[in-house]
Amino acid sequence: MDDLLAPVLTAYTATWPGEDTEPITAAYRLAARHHHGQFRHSGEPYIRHSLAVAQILADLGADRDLVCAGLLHDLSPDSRSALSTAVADTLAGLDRLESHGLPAARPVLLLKLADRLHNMRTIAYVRPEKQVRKSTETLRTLVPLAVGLGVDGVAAELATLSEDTIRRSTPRVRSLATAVWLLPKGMRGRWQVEWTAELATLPTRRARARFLLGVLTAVPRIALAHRPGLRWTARLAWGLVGAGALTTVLTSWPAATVALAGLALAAAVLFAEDDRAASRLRDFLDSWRR
Amino acid sequence: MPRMTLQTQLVLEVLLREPDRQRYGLELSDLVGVATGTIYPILARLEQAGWLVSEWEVPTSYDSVGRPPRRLYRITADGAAAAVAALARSRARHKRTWILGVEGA
Repeated sequence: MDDLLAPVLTAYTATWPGEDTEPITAAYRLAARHHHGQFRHSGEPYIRHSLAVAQILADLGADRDLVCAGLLHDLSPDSRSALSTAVADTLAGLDRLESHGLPAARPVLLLKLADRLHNMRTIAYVRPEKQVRKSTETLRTLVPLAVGLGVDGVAAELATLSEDTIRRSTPRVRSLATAVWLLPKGMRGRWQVEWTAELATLPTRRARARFLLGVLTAVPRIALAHRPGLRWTARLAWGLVGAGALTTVLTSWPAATVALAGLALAAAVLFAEDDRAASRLRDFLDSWRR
Repeated sequence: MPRMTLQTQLVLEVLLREPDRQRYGLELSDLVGVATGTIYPILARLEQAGWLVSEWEVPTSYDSVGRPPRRLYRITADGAAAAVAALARSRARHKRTWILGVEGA
């Protein structure tokens, strides 16, 4: 397990040769224990995020306390009692920065930037609305902050990632996301990323539209593959989705409204434990029509 | 065992041709000639049954093009064995029906 830390230590000792790395290893062990059983939106173990943030900081030449703070930055306040004063102060500074804004000490700001940089690198796994919100916020506040601190590489990467995310956020990708929300929780992120990626490789508008329609009909069957107990309800829902899609494309408003109602009902029946399914379906159909 | 529809059999045949090769959904959809709406549920079912494993494309290959990673599917050793057996069974059944059909005609 410790070899996950090796690249961080290598980057750290490149700037600080001969320094004792034991505190970093200890911080890593503490973080690994704390985040055990927690996962990122991407499905990765949470500790990978802590490691990535520490790596970004070590690559920037951060000192030992800041690398440790990177590893420990998502520790809840009540589990920080064992930390050294310097590390605890940086983490407290990050809390203050996130709740009250500037000013903050340079290490705190670097930590914030490193945290956001890794979040932006893995932004594809969060919901599209949040993607756009975070990207906008990054462009407005964090990119200028990075420029001000003189970490140009971080500033440039944050700007590119944010701009790409906003540009990619087309209505089609948003419809896809809403369709995916009809799937049971826990499977949504995976299929959304998979389909957004495939969608992005398609060259023409027509091919993308066809892909989206195909994926829409696939959603109930995929839900079924993961929960075979729902076979008959899923068939009913699939039939209604198919009929609905056809009616929406072919005919006038009244027919489309009937189909819409049927779809909302089907979604409600299929995902009865999830009371927001119907409204998500309505959102999806709205975005589809636009 | 996953349902052995005709499309499922076609997907398995393509995957068995190069069992070590990872393929993504859209690629399989093109290779097999099956619509995207059909390919993903088949992949989900086969993966659920343990016949396939999937993982994300490695970051270096997608970071540069600015899109999220694709999901890559590969047939497992158990899956390959089970698929060969299942394909043989359904071929035998198909042959029997065909011969009986000829005899009956």
